[in-house]
Amino acid sequence: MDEEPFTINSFQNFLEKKRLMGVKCNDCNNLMFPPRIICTKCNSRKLEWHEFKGDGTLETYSILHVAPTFLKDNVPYVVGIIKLTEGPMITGRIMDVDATKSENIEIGMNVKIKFSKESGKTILAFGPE
Amino acid sequence: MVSDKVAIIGAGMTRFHHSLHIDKSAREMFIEAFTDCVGSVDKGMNHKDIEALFIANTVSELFEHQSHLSSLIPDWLGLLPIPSTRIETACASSSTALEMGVLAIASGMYDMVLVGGLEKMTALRTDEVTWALMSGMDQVYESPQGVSNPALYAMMGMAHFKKYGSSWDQLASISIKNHYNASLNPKAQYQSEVIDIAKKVGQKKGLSFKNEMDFLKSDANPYVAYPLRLFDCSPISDGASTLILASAKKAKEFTDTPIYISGIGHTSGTMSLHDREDLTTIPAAVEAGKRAHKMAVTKPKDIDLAMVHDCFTPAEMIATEDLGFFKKGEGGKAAEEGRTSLKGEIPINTDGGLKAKGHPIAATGTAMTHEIWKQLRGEADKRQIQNAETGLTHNVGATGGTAVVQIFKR
Repeated sequence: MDEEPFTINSFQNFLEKKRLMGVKCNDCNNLMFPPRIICTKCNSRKLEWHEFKGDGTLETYSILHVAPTFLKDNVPYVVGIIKLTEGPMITGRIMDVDATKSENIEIGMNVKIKFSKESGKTILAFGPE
Repeated sequence: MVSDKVAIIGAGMTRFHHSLHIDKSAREMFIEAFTDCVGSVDKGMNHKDIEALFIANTVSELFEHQSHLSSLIPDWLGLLPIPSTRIETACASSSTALEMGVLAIASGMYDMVLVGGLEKMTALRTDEVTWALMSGMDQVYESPQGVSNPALYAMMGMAHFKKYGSSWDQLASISIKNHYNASLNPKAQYQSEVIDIAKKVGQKKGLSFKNEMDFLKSDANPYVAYPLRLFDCSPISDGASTLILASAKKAKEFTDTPIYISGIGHTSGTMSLHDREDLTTIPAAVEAGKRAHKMAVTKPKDIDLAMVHDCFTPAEMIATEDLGFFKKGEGGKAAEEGRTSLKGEIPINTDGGLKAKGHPIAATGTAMTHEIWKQLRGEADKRQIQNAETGLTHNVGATGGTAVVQIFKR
């Protein structure tokens, strides 16, 4: 694992194996998700891979009724920003919630990574635990 | 060093619209805006006076499969062989073009520069436009999850509701206000108040609405990205806008009332919304505002009116807080109380804003300045703010990956 370069390609390859990989800065301990090449806090390049557990809380969300072409037949669907337990935040598709009932979705609720596949590729999807 | 060294001597734009320009290409719209601009120069001017061009466009490759506008536009304007450069900072592109024009003159390299922006959006369907504009977000870590631009601003709004107790009703008051202002602006896409649109839609669908809010909360105003509905979103628009800049010394040859560029703040923010600790503010815009005020030696209370980037209603609420007009968390309430209306303490988006004037992406920044130019010269007719001397524009790229704040004085 240590030899993998800190690239989008590596990130996606890990994701396909159901592993949520970011990086940790060896100089300032900053945790970054997804992986960066330069530390976002101290500009160090001494980084190492760090595996994230995949659970967190829903910080905010929206329900899409007008979608880009590749998802236009999937509406309504939910997206959100998830704060991972380890700290970083990430945009995710929100699964396993009723997109027609906004009252069932709550900011602050616990969510977990779902490793959902779309067009043969794993996307960052989360859902209630 | 730069403050008040450069002035605007002319401003022009097409009307922004969803159908009016359907048979025109981007170049034709730009020529229309340029002609309007040249016509606005008080003492007249010669095209040959223009020494350089900075032209803003976001994604004409996707809308018209046309790049290399840096040649196309000066060629069709008859301005060859002046140097010409295309600028792209997403929705903030033409404010950035204005900045480049100011720097080019302040450096002493040129005396007169043309800047402007254009976007031809209506050739694509709504889902295709949604996708084209998603190119302004992170294609790896945001786009595949299916988050659109309205959804990103919806999420900022939801976070704001949660943190400060603001509400969708407050956002609706922003839409109603901007439609009213646009009803007084002949360049606006929608020159109708929400109540008049409600009546028209009601007649067509055999429905009756008690008032504006009754209409805005009905299925006749469908959701785009919950909690945002159609009337929370700026429309798909075609349009172009241009400004002619001159050194302060040269400007007097063309007009007795030039408008000076006093402050410029331009900053970058994280590409992705999720990389910001606080989702209820745009840090790049806060910093750009501070920098613009520092250069102009002004404070928020010195601003007589502001055009802010209301691509979606939460954006205007947040902008009025980020710019220091209202305390954090109180932007929505202030709008609801009419404090940002034409008669309010700080009129916001007197031209109708992106919401109702229209938002042809890269034409927006210099169109905001077009309104400031009109207002500071006392030429804004029914929407004129009395004794307006200092105006501000706030132009944001995507969710705040770019922010440009500019301050203008008479």
